[in-house]
Amino acid sequence: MSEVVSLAKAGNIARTQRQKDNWTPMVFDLHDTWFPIAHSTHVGAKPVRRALHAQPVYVWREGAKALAAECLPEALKSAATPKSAFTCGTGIYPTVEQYGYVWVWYGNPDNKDVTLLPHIPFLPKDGVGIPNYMRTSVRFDGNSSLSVENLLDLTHADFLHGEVIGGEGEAESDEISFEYTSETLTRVRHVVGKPVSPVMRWLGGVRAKYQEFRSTLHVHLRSNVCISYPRFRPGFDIPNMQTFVPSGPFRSRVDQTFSLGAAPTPFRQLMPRMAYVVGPQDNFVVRPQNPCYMNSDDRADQNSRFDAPGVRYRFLMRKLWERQQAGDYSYLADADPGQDISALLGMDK
Amino acid sequence: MWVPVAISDHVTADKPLGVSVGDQGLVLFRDKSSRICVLEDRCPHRRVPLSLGKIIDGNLRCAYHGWTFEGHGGQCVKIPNLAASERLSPKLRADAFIPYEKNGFVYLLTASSSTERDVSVKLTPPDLLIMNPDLAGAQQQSGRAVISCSVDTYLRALLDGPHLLLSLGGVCITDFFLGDVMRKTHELQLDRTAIWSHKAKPHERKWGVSTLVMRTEVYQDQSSARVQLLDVGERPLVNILLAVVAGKRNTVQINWRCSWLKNYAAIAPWFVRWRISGGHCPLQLNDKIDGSALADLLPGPSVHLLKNDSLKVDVHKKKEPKRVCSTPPTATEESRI
Repeated sequence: MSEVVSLAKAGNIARTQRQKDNWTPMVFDLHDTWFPIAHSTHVGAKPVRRALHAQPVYVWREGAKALAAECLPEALKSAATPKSAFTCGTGIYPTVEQYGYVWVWYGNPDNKDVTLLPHIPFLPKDGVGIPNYMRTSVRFDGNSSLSVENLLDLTHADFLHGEVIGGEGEAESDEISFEYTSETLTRVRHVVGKPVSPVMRWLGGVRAKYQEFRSTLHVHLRSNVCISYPRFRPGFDIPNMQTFVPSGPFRSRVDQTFSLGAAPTPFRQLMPRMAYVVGPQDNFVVRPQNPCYMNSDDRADQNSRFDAPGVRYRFLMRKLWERQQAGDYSYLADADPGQDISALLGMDK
Repeated sequence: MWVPVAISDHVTADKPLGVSVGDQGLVLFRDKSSRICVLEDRCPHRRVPLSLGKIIDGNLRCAYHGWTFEGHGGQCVKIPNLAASERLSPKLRADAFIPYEKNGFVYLLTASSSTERDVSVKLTPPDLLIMNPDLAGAQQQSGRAVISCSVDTYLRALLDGPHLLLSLGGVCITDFFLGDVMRKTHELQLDRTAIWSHKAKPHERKWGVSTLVMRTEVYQDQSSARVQLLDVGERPLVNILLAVVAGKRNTVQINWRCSWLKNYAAIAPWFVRWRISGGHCPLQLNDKIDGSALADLLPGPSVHLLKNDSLKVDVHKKKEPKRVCSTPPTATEESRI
């Protein structure tokens, strides 16, 4: 089979020794975690179908109680319906409703623990009072891990979402820092002297030319739940929660909830709608990117200093996956997914 | 082996052009000095196709995170928001390829072994696609199509039934072959009759006087073909060059260039003259081949086309009568021999 000869192969350029890349996020199928399978408002008496990795999930309500099962409710009683270990053979997933989401336990039902639910400081725990305009749902045409990486490296926003976020790499300084446990990773991007985002200028009435931008992202590794706290000064905070629920290895579903109570009208009402602009912009690159990660590659991805959190994310995900492959699904002592993250998000600053 | 992957005019300094050779994605663009650059269509940072990006100051900027690459060595020259004092490592680079621009096409070197590569890299692309000098001053158009069949199937159909693959304004292409395939120095050549469509009777029933010849030539390396429409005196009326490259998922990519002479316009039916005077190209390349017609196409001259990237040797090589010569050949005669 003929291949196109590159300069490196022809000997015109010294080929850099590259490390083999075994970053194949499509194989990751992390168990024993809560997934926010749907907005509470999307669940009614009629079942809706979702997927968690390869597992089918049907969600509906019986009275006020949300239920999730491996099959349609009418098939539950049939012995012919296959039921897996995810439901201990009952067909019913452990389910809980918090922060305006229906959460489904994915893993061994005996290990379910509501204290492992993430803490989302800017959303009401009972989900009451979240206006409908603060909720959006978009598709992400990529694996959920690649989707999380998309959020971790926010430098992409300057190029893909220029007309919403503004600027093309123009800033006085751009610093990235991060911290992590075996279950979470928190990335902080601090940009000084960034041109004011168009959406904030035209909808939010911010008249300054430049603004400071501090974006904190808290990622739960097993569930891909991303809790984001961007702060613009002058401007507003745009706290939001993004669920990258893996609908198989190729697509993920994002049910977003914003908390913009402190922002002015019409910014408050319109900003969440920007998800319908930003989503397709992300898919423009993530969609063709996704198949490139189906198999291990003989060339590792190249990185800049902006990728330090992303590189750590890959490392942590691999570790977690290897541990689960060896049969260890436990949470290590350093991990407390349910801990109060208000300070971590910089809400108190 | 050099394969023609794009038409020169289609590669600009305004917008990158994504092409593929088999499963290998490539991106082509021109730098500030209009030189052609070819990089792998994959950002080494996060594997997004570089063809989605933009050309900024002669360099190619990835659409995702803005990494920017120069086109000749693939070196990353900019990562946005890095401080001026931060140096870019020379290790940060995209794979670059060796382009060669010739005869209005951009060629890339392919090889299946290091030996083949070392031999081929010293050569330039063959002069197979040079336009017929008689066609100087002709009108010309070019285009690109991706067709859902393999290169082999396409070339076989080009010999057995080109009417499935293309149509020429005002011309009925028949399957009445004029002799059999001739093996020339670098190509297989086959002539068939063609008829002006407004004069054509159902040629399967009533055979009139055909005044046109369609000549199909498939070149040795099976990377290109030429289809010519000739008049009764075998003067060219239309010349079509087809650069044929395997694409992804076993498709074939055709970069075509069609030129037509004044005498074609002069003798073509009125509706063809009217169309080409409005700037329409007489060639229509069929990018949606009728599957059942293709399956039913009877094998014919294509039996001489082998799969192993070469032409069958000694196919219908004309047996020439032994020359009896009492005097030594002249210099001109010698060069002919």
